Amino acid sequence: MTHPEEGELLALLDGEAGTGPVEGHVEACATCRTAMNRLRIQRQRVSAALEVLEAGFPSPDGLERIRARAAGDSAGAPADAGGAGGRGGGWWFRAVPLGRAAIFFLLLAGTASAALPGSPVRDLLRAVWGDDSPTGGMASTDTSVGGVEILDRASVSQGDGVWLALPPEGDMDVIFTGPVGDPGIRMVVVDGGRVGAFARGPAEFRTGARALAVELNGGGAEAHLPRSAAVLRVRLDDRILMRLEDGVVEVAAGLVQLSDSVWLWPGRDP
Amino acid sequence: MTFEELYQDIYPPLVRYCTRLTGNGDDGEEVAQEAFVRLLKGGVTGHPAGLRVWLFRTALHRIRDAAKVRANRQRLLEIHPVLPGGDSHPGLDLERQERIESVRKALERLSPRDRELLLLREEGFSYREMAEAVGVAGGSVGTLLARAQRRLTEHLNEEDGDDAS
Repeated sequence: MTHPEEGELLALLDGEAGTGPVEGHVEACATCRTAMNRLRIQRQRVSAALEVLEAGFPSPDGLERIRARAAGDSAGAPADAGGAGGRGGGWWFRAVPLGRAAIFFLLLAGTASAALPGSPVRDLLRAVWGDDSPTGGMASTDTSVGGVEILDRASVSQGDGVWLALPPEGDMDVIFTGPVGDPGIRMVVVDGGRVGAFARGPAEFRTGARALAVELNGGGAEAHLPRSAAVLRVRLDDRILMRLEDGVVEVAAGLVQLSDSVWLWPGRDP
Repeated sequence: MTFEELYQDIYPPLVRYCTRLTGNGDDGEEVAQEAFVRLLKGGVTGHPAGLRVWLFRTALHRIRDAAKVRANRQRLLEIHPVLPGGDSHPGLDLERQERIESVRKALERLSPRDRELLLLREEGFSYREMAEAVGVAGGSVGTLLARAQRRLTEHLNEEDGDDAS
């Protein structure tokens, strides 16, 4: 018999090959025993290395969350959760469902792309969706990004709600740029279930107890967290720029540079 | 076997597998949840061993899809680089963090298929189950695994060498 292939030796080592010609050959062949010993050492090294990696910790309410999601009951808190802070202090919160916040930020991005000289917003959007999006990238009329219709800015007025339907399958990113001193904060909605935030400047991402809390000091970080479970607060200059709780986004309107045609709107079920 | 029993048996290892494959605990659990949600909504039934393969395969496909999004995000970050900062693993000691980083780098140098197979083996999958989950011929698993573990060992050695230098 010729020497067994490496894969056959490993199968023997992994208990996948019963007693047979391969095992008989190895018992009689010093070359194959040496090869098998090498595979064993590699296998042990790989197992030890992979054991080091984070194992992840299933959340205690995992089963309940699965059931809720399967039942289509994962929409989160009521649309208008009543933002903290009210209108005082020069800035205030309005609670808006995440989808509305997303479309708002799309609108904001669109505005910024037109208003800021050399703004990279358009490039950012194009980079995220690329040319393989359902619409082939950002439409020249800016009415559709990644298959999501952007309403005419003039049609969005305060008091009106706009609901962004996130696709049930696949991924979609929504990006906004920070309006104050260009902090470079960008929010990414991933497949309607997770939210990520990016920042170039000083900012703080603080999430729920089981997730991470990152304080930035001129650096940057990326935080991904499950929307259904976590709390996200983005601080800027010790003020909360936005926060996300129970699927509801609250935005500090005073820190957001609104144009005449872009408004925050009260949360209201679509 | 009830759904609760299936959850108790398979959810923790699925979260672990997805976490190690994605490199992120939250992502890992999210993907694991999605797989279970699809199982529940789809009314998928079968033998527990078959359901385990189904759940891992579903999660695997989801992670592969997400890789495309990550690639797009990477392009975005290249346009507007985000400087490294913060503590990505609060509470972990520095030495352990470095070790995790080293293994993570070595793992990421493998092809996705090699990563998937090695991590499935660590979860106790048989060759036949691995073939079904990953979508390769059953007879090729031994060869693919041997090559994958050799490559990972080489990458680990290189990473360790980098750390030592």
